[in-house]
Amino acid sequence: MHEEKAAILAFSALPAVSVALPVLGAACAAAAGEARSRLRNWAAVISSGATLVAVAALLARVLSQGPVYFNLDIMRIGDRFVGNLEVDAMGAFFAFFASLLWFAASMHAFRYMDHEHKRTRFYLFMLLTEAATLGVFMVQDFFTLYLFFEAMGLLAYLLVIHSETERSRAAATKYICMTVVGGLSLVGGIFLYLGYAGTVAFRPLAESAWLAGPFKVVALVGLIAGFGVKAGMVPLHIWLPDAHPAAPSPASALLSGVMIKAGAYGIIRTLLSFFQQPAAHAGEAAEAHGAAHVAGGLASDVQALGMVVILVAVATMFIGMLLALVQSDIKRTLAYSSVSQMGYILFGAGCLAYLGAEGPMGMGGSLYHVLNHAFFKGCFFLAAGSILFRAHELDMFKLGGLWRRMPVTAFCWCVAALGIMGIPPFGGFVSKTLLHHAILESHHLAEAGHLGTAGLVKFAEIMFIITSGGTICYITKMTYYTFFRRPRGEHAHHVEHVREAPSWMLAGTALLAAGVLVNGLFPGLLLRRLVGPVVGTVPGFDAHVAAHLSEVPVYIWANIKEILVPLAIGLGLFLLGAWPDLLGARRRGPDLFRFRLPRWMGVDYWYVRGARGSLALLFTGKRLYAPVKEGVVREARKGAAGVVRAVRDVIYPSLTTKPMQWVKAQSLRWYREARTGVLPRVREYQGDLAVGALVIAVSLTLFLIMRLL
Amino acid sequence: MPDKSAFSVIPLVAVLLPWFSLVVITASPKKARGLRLWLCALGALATFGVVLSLLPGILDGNTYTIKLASVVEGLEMRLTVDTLGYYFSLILAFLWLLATVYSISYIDHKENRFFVFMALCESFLIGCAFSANMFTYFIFYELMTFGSYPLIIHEETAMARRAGYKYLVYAISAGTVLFFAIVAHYFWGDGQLGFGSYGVLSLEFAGRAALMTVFFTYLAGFGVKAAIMPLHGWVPDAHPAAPSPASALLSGVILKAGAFGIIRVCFNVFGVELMRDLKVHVVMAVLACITIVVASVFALTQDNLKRRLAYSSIGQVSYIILGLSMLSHDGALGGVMHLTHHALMKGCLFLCAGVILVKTGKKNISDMKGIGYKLPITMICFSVCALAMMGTPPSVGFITKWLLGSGSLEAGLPVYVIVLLVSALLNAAYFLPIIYTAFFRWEGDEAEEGEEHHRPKLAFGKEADHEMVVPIVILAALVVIVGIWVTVPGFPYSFVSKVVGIIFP
Repeated sequence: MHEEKAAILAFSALPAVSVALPVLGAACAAAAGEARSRLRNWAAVISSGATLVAVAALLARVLSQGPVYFNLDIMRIGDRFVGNLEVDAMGAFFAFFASLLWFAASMHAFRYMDHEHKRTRFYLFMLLTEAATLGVFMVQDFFTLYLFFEAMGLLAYLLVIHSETERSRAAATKYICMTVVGGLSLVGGIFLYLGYAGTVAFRPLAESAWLAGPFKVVALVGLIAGFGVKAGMVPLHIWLPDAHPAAPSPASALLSGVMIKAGAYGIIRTLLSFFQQPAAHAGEAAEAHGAAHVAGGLASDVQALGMVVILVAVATMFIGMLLALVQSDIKRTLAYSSVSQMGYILFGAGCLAYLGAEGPMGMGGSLYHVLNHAFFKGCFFLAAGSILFRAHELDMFKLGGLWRRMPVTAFCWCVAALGIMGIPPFGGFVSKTLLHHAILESHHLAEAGHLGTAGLVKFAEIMFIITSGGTICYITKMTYYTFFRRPRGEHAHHVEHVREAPSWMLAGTALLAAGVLVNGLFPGLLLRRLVGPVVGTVPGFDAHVAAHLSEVPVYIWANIKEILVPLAIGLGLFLLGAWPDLLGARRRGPDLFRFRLPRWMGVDYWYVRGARGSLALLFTGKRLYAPVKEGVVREARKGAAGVVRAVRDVIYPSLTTKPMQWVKAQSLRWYREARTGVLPRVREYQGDLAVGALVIAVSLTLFLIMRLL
Repeated sequence: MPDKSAFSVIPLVAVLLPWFSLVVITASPKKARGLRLWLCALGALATFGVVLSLLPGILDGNTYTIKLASVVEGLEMRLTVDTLGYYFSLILAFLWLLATVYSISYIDHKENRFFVFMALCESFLIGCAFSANMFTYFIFYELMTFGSYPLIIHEETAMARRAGYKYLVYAISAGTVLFFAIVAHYFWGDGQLGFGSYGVLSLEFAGRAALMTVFFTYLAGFGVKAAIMPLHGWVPDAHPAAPSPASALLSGVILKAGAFGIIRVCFNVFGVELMRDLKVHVVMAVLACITIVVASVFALTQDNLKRRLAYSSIGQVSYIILGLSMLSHDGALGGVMHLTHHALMKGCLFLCAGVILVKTGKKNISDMKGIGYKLPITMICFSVCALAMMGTPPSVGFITKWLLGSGSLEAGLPVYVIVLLVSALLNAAYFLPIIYTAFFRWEGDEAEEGEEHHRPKLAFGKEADHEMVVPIVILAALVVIVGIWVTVPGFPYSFVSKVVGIIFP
């Protein structure tokens, strides 16, 4: 199999170089240390810049000449499992924006970290996380993916906990719990995938019956939940709104801009594993399994899966939006916004599975939105970092009028804001248009096929529009309160001394804002040169539909009018919540922007209760078992006493002859000695003995049950 | 038995070489403590060298054999180095070398007694590994039991004495059961006490009940050392009581002597086919699953670091048993490889616990706030091994977890995957708080924010003597290296895949 792969793929050192450069940078940064802090900061910027160049070269190479591999050859177990780097177009695409974001964040961190402690540790782990994250995108099998995915998750823990305040400790603990559970769910899913697909590669073996196994739902739930934890998928998102604000701002930009995309990437890969069988082989497999209806059944299974993903995505985007609406902390709003935006990305992925062979539009929208979200959310977080750096405050209601004091930051922020709102001609408009097309296509498909899910698809479309409206509202709110509202008297001291951020920080922010602009201004170029080709590499897609994606017109009235409804909803909501401040009036009645839900409505409340409950159950088991153990001991002692009594009352009286009398005296003496000498020892071990007896009894019972079954 | 079997004195040399330390201790002057102990370490190094010298031959598929004595016709004491035995001897000689070096700095009283019994134990264990038949194995195994008693009670505190007593009670009872097992094996097995590649017993010799009796008495006899759950009582007491290098060896090697016995019984005495016939693997699996989960839950409730590690060992050794009981290629591969994997990880963890104890006097995890700043190298190594225990790649722990998971699917029983995942989750639950306490808390961190002066600084390079730090670093490095380059000749895979490849073609 290995030779075959070598024949198809071209060797390239670029994947290894891209992963090694950040590690090298990390080593340099650690060696430079606090004593040579400028050298250390430069090392981070240069290494992430060099990584960006390497990844860009890799992307160009992959798009022009097809996938490349590098024989890493680690964790080799026999011939079946081996960790190797292999990059296809989609992986290179993800790696490209990841390294771009890392470059921007390391520029921003150059000055931002001045007011943090343990800076060397931060740089060390930021760069190591980059290596791990790039690794995630540069593999073609779940085995190696798991290596990098776990490494990324664990290394990012250091970024979340960095400030070591109570708040970040709590956030980091939540984060690590979710990471560990997600990792285990993932590895469980991978095992089952291995069992059914016959391989750990993303492309299942042609003759395998991936999805025919009895545990297919378990396997899928394991994989999607494992990736979904990282992707911030509702209801597994609970770590995200705590962890992103707790981390230093450049790290938040990375967590929000890149790391959660790794989760989305995993989900897209999982969904694509159904498309990876070459058409000819798929036909053979269908024949091998009896009839064409197997292939039909598979298609409808995938469609059902797509529907589930769409619904989860809708829940994610809607709940994230609602919670973002009521936050006052800028970074917390952005974090909830990330949850909501991940919903958009998963939405595209769901459409991809729902549409099946006609899914390029869903995948294209998803990928375009990944790119967009990376840029604008990274830009937002970096700008928020600049605000925190200068104003030492992140409560939007205590800030105000910053656009005068930080004009460049405000400009970048506004570009990102227009981008995320989906206003033409900024990036978000393009991806939201694509996603909207995808859901419309799904609806056509459902109507044409008289599918039962047509109503649900319509519902998803409506939710999509409402969520877009809510997004417009909370972004407008945040922008208005932070930058444009005149600061209130009691809070004016927060902003008085504020100056424009240092140029290093501006450079990082502006780079990402430029990305948002490019995404919006050149959609045709990006679709033709980047997103289209990436989607085109997926086997199993209808070639015509894939080609259509490259030529889909974006800036036409039919698309632009679609934004008007959300815009009206969003601005209406905004006016409803902000009119007292806009008019300078006193606030009366319920406040839309400060609404708080009770704790029990949060998912994490129930997770904590569940975890406590299961722990309590374990210890109840222990408590229940203590009386049983004592009971066993008591009964055993009773039995022993009974034997002694029987000997004393029944046997001894019958011993009348002289030799027997001697035996009796002797045995009494031994008994007395045993009582004083041995019995205390026995008492000491009675617990162990009882446990032994119990476990043997339980095991025998289980054994018998298994034999009988 | 493989074809290329040759007479060689090297097995005997390897068994006898540790006695060199005995000579050194008695012969050298009382005052030259350093010289004496370093000569002992040299003895351990020489033993490891001798064992290592067999490596090329073993990888070629040779076996080396030497007859020691003949008791009666057909019942002889014989040393034979086959792949499986060599595999065990390599890790034990290696871990012994590191623990001996570590002890030079760690042991502060009655070091003569400690080093002598360390050496004797090594000698007996190598005898176990090189035994050609159950009779020889039993003799060395019992000698090792008594040889390790002085290591456990070395501190001579009341706690250590009680732990030692408990150990003896358990070990002697187990020895009795084991003796019965061997007699029954000899009687019903037509005198075939040797080890065959596919097992030597079969239903031709005796009935199912007889063979099952033999199997379960073996399981009970070896299960005490391997700490299978109802028989584990001595482990959580003996580990915290013993000095840290001795705990590392107890957990890393001596527990494994029991597990190794069970491997021999499964592979070389009964054979996979017979086990499948008798369905005894089901009992093993149930016991192993119970042990893995329950031991992890117990570990969760311990605050004493070494006690927590001891419970962790109980659970981890059962991975080996679980792997064997799957009766599938990957399961057996993962289980037997875990013998070394766990020795590396747990050996390192116990040695780290020793450094903490010596340098700060802290035994309880709740007292270890900020210890990662005082002992950075130690705690980084500790963290590496703890993460490896959770099965984080790239590490030996991941390889085990992966193979066991793959093996359970091969056996068609995905339920074991759930056991593995639950165990990994519990592992995380009891290991991660230790890392968290060590690196992200410090004394006085509840004070108001802004009191930054409490925040400790990393103190590299002044934590402990090199004799203690170097073994730890070597072990932690190996945990990662063996987990990355799995198939390098001399690493576990190169031996175990051969053995398992024969049994499950």
